[in-house]
Amino acid sequence: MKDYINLAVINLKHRRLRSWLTILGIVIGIAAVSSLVSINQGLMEAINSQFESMGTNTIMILPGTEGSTSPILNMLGSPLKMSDNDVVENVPGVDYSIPLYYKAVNVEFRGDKKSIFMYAIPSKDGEKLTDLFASVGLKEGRSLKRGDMYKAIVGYNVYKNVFNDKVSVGSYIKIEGKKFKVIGIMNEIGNRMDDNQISIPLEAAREIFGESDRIDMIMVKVEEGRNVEDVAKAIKLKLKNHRGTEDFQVLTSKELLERAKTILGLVSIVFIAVAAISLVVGGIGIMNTMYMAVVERTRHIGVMKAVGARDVDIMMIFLLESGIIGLIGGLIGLSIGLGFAKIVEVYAASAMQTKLLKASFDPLLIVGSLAFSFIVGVISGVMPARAAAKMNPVDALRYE
Amino acid sequence: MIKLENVWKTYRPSESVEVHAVRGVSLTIKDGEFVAIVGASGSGKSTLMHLMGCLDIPTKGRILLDGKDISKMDPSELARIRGKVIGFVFQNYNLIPSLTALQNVELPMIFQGVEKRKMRERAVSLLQMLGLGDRMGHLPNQLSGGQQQRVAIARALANNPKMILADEPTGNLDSKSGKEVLDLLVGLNKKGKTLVVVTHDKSIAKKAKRIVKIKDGRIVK
Repeated sequence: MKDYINLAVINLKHRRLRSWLTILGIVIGIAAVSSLVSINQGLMEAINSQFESMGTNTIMILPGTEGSTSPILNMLGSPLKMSDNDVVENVPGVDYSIPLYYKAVNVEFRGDKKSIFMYAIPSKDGEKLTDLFASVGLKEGRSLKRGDMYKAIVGYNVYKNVFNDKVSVGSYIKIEGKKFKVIGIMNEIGNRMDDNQISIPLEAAREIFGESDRIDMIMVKVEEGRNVEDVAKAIKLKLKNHRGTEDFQVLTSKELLERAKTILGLVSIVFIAVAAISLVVGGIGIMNTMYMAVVERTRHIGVMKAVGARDVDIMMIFLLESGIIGLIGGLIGLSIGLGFAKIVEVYAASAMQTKLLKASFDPLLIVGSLAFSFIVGVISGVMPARAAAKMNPVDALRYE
Repeated sequence: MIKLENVWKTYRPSESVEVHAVRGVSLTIKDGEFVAIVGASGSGKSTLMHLMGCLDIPTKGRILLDGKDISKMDPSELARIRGKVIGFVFQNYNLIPSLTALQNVELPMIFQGVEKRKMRERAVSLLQMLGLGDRMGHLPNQLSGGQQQRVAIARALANNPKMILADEPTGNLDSKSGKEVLDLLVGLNKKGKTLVVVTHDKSIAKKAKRIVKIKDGRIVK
């Protein structure tokens, strides 16, 4: 076997340029597939951990009809009201519910003005929200608590990057001209949207913006031991009765996760299918090269048969050759692909400030890509190798 | 010992055309013999050699190699015989150009699964014996015709075969290296190898103990 590999390598080296050009086809295919799979896997892992941070016994209620995934469109629909929250809170199985009110607001810190996404919750629910996002937690300071008015909790990015100066616990910031004291800083969540938020008491938001009843989302914590899906169904029923129509969505974290994964899965299937086409083209390139090699080496095949090579020996030599082309292409393609995925990760982290895009270096991906590229090579080589093996030795020896 | 019994080889280049390259040849070559097969080009002598060398099977008749009928053997058995029992020497040497002299000599042993170390030892000693000890790492195109043919002879001897089949072994060589190669082959015959040389060169044929003359696919003398 080792001698056959040796023969295959000698033959590949003998037509170096052509071998490299053929390898290039596989390099491109494997690089595309492996980088996409790597990023896709990383994204899946990141999404999983994001949802883990939300907990599995959480339910979100949003305005807007089922199927619409755009939060902006949903906000244009009939908003939720405080009374909806009361209904939800009293559904059996609900541990507690928190109404959230969103708004993009102008925030000023030491003369530096920025537009920041703000969410407001009743001050009494501050501890509960922290409990709901227990895995995120506060980096410094404390949660909102009953009676807080002009107090704010800032996201990690707001603390660190948004303003020229770092915001610290005890600093004062101005929200729409009103002075707020920063009492807490959130830990880093890892994506720009979540880390760029400010949280204030709903009472203060009502005073500044005047909308006395509107809420944009209700977050529900389900009691321990309860079936989350059942509770979600009960909430849906009660809220429909209360509002008279089902112009809202009740989403469990599991559902959200599934939904995100489905979309991501579809997108990646399309991309990977496109990348796979390049791999097929690469395989055809190998086949072409191998057919040329078989024709060019017809006489050598005859000689090898004359000195005792069986059909399987000839077949093996050619299959190893095409397999090695595939494998080398796979090795180089994988390095390029994973390198590219890593670059995407670094770029996403610095330019888009998201840690969601991560390159995954799953050993299965690495071994799988190499095995796959070798197999692509071997499969592409089957027909040419068979043609070589089946040659009549006399005809092959006479070939000019 | 190889024995041909009423051997025919017929080609069908197209549906209606039949070409009888060998017509009813019967011939026995004993172990250790030196036989020259002579004839004009197209006389069927090369086909005859291919048949004796198990490269081809007869259309009709039997070829017995040490009593076994090769026309009934499957391709891998024929390959084994070509590898172990027969050594070929061709007019145009037929060395693999991407392999060094040493690797060319090792090639037949690879297919017999000879252990790497033994293979190397054997190839080195064969090349040294044929006076190519200093050319082992050379590629065929770095060697002269005579040297290439000597590498080919070393390759033919690699698996220590009983019989050497040489098809115009000196045809591409100048007279000096042609004589060297012929002397080598004759020397091998004297050491016990059966030697069958296909040639149209009368001076070679004269050295043989027996001359078989072929014309139109038949033995005429």
